[in-house]
Amino acid sequence: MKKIITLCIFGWFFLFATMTFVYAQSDIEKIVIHYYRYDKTYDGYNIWLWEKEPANLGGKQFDFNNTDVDEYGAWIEINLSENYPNTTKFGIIIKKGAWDGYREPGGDRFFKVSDMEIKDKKVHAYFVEQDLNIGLSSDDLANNIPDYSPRILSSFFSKDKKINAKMTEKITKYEVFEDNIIVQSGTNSTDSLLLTPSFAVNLSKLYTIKVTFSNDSVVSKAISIHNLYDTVEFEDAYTYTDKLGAIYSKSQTIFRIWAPISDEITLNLYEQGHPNYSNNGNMHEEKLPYKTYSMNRISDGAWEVIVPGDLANKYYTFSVTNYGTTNEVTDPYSYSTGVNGLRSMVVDFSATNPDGWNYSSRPDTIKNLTDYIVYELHVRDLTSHETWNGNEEYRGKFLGFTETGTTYTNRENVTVTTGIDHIAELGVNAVQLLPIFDFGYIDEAEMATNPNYANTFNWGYMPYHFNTLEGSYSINPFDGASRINEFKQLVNALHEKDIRVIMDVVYNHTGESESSNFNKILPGYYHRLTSDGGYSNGSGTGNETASERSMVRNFMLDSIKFLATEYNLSGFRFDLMALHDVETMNQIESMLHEIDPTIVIYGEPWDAGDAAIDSTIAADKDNLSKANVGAFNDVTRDAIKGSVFTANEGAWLQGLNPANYVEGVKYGIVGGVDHSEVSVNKWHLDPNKTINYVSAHDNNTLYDKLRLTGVPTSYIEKYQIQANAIVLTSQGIPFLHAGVDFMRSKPKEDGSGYDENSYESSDKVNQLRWDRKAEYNNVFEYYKTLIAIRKNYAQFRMNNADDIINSIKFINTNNSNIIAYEINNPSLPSVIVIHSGKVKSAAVINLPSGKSYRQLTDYENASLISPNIITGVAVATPNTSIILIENSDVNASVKESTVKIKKNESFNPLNNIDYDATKQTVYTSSFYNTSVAGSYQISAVVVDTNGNTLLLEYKLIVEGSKHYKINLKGEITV
Amino acid sequence: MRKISFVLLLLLTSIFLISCKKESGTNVNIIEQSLEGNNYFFTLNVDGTFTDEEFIELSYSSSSELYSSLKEKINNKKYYLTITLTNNKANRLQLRFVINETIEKPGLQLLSEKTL
Repeated sequence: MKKIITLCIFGWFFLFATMTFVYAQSDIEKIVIHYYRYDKTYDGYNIWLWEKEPANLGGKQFDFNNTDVDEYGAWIEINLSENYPNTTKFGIIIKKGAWDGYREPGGDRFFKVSDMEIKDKKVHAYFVEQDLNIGLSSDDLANNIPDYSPRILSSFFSKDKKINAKMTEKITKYEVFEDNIIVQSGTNSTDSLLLTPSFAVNLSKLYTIKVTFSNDSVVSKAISIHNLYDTVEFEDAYTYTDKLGAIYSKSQTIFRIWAPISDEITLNLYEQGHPNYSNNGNMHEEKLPYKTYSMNRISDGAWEVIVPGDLANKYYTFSVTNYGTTNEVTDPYSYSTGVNGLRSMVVDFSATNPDGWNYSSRPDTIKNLTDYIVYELHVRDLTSHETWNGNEEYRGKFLGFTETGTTYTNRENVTVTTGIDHIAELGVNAVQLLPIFDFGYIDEAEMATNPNYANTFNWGYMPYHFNTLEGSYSINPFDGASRINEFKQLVNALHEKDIRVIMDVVYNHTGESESSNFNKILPGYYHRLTSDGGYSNGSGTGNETASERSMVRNFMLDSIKFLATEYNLSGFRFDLMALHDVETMNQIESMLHEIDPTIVIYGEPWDAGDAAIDSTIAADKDNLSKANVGAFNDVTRDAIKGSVFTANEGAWLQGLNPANYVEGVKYGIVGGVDHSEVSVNKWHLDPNKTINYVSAHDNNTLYDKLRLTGVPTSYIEKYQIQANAIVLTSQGIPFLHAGVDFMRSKPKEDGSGYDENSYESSDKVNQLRWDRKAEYNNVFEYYKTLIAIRKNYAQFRMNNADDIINSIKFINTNNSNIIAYEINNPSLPSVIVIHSGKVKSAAVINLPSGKSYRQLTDYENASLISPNIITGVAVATPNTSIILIENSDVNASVKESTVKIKKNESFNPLNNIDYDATKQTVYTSSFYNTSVAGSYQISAVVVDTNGNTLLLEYKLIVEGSKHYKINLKGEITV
Repeated sequence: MRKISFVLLLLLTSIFLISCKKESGTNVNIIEQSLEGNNYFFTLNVDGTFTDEEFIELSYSSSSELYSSLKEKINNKKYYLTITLTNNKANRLQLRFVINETIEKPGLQLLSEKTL
């Protein structure tokens, strides 16, 4: 009875608590956002507000104005039931104008509804210009949160060493200090200062300015020397070239950090990688370091301490004191970290190597850079969908790549390979992984411990530790060594299938600006700043790094060298490469090609707008001729299927004013070289530098773009094939977005269209769906053959501009919808490619007389072993790409139609084939077993150096005590 | 002598007949077949008594024979082939193959072998 009463009481209490909670939630009708600016002007400013939790949804913009203003600045009142009915946590960005304009510091900022005070069915959030604090209650306002008091907004030396200061209101006097000794003072009655120093500025000293406001409040701020970082004086004084980071050996670890203006630095050692979790993920506190060491200033701005003993798997941070303020920071050079990147790790790399790991090992499939066929892939996408049936623990992780033998069969009994086997079957020879370094926005600890944690996906373009692997891809993110071992297993697994690994690197910005470890170590050095000391935002994500500065450049070089050598990487894709300078990119290229000349380096030759880099040095399209690295070809991308900036606008493929786009398509066909028959501005000029593509992780998938441009579903497979048939037959380096080979689509979860920017959308939007591969298996098989054709015929992979210019001749079709060309490389069989676009009737192209051609592709089929020999004319139906290879015989044959061996006798299927091993490669079937008597059908494909193929077959009889001759009875009717 | 000659003749005839029977091979009957998606499914039956080793030998040879009969239809494309082998109509072994997976993997490739 007691139990029943207790249960009843508990039940009533639960019901009451639930109702109270629901009532509290429903009691809030509006949210009011207050924004205070010292200049009192609000027109043009706006907020981007979105639901962060429980679901991470898209945002909406709301505008401030100069009318709705009170003592807390401008305000916007937003109806919650209309706009955010279920939101428990908001994300907000305050900005001016569009995304390329001014933004308040702090990047994405968040606040919880449960932390907000409810007044008159409203909740309020208060913001102040240039202040990271958010006020959510009357108590916050009473405690000056955010900070409304008079402040110095900025203070810095200009390039001519004058002191500039901007205050929130007028002052009465000022004083300038050099290492706490007053060196200059005066009176003033304005809100800004421009002072010519009456002293010699010494870059090794700390300068501060103290001002007195009219209300007698006194405020101090350090005077930034960021405008002097680019002086010869600074470079000479503070360029350090020796190794930085934690340099481990069994007997000692050397810790080094470059921090030229710091007053003091302390090394903190920890046992755990997180203050609240053990390295196995159990709750266990370690708030304070078990040992600290004062570091010593050595040379050129570097600090060092040598700690004896074996520190492998210990964690560490630095406490860096600048301008009297101490910050505990992780090491920018961290080779790994604990969970969520809170503490750096000392790594013994020799203990992280999986079985079979060999340094300096890459698949021997690339002789020239134009041999690469790149497949762009996100780690989670490969294995996150339920149709992937590998080890459940490995789903979405690095280790998912190690699972072979996974397949999916749909209701129609179409069976397809999935996961890594899919990539291998497709035939690409390189995978470019979206960011795998430690990035922000995923709580790795929550993800590992809370099965209901939903924020599990991010593209990863907000870097935190460039040399550390992302913890959320590890099955144990708490132990910084696990992710290293697991990623090396991924590399090994891909290498075993002759697939190289390319890393997407994002050195162009840091995930945080003011609060980044770089900035806390040397404020303003690593980032380009605006003239008034704000962060230049050429990346569109809050800041941009300054690769032209020697120690930023050194960091990039050190980082890439480490990644290339420790993980056997074969390439690097630079995000927003135009934010880097040409000299840095060329130094990276030289360094990498000393390691291995087949390492490929390319990037996006653009930025996100308003970059502060000098345009004469930016690694963009204008300067690509001076850079020895590759760049994405957006000219051909947009010419094939339409601009990425106008979703419903098609191009050549859709037959939309094809004359406007035909030259752009031809530019890709010739690999971006200066070909006389192509009339566009040419800027790649070298096929090794031209990355041809039609779709990537950014923007709509190819399928979605085709749908948005009105391509009917009945034709879409043809368009999907032809778009990349153009890419895969073009000179240069082809690049495929993962899943484009089986019609990848990213419909939004709410059904409102396609997700063109799925950077933080769920797995459901992003994942590769193997059921879709089964549904569109014919498209996949076509892509697979196109890739095999490219690999087989060197005519599509010429690696210098002269060969391309001399070999490729366009055929006059008198129709912009039909692009046809001939590749006549004197040392190889002739090739003719016909891209028949949206034409009303089939394209008919006359073939050179006296030659016969093997037709490898047609409207429905593609085959490398095609028996279809044509002469005279070629006919191409609409939206079909036809590939013709000059026919020539392959001189090879089987020696005996039947080979007999004794049971358990050794057997080599090649021994019965008469071929020239110096000029031909033979692939044979694998189904025979010399320990099982019987008869086996041996299939062999002979491929000669010209790419011609020949299929041969013979019978193997393994003789045993009994040997069954089979009489197969019954007619095959299926 | 006549008797000896007769016995010898009988013996030789028997040996000859046995040899002839052996030469005529083992009958393997197709009793079910279907093509669904990119999967061929066949059920083959063989009557008689066979050890496990003998049955595997017979199954491997039957698979190759079946593939030879199918390859014209397959026309160098990729298919899966699942063969269920029954002995006296009772399930005994299942073999699963992929055919022409890639240009580098032509013909038959055994994926799995399952005793039923």
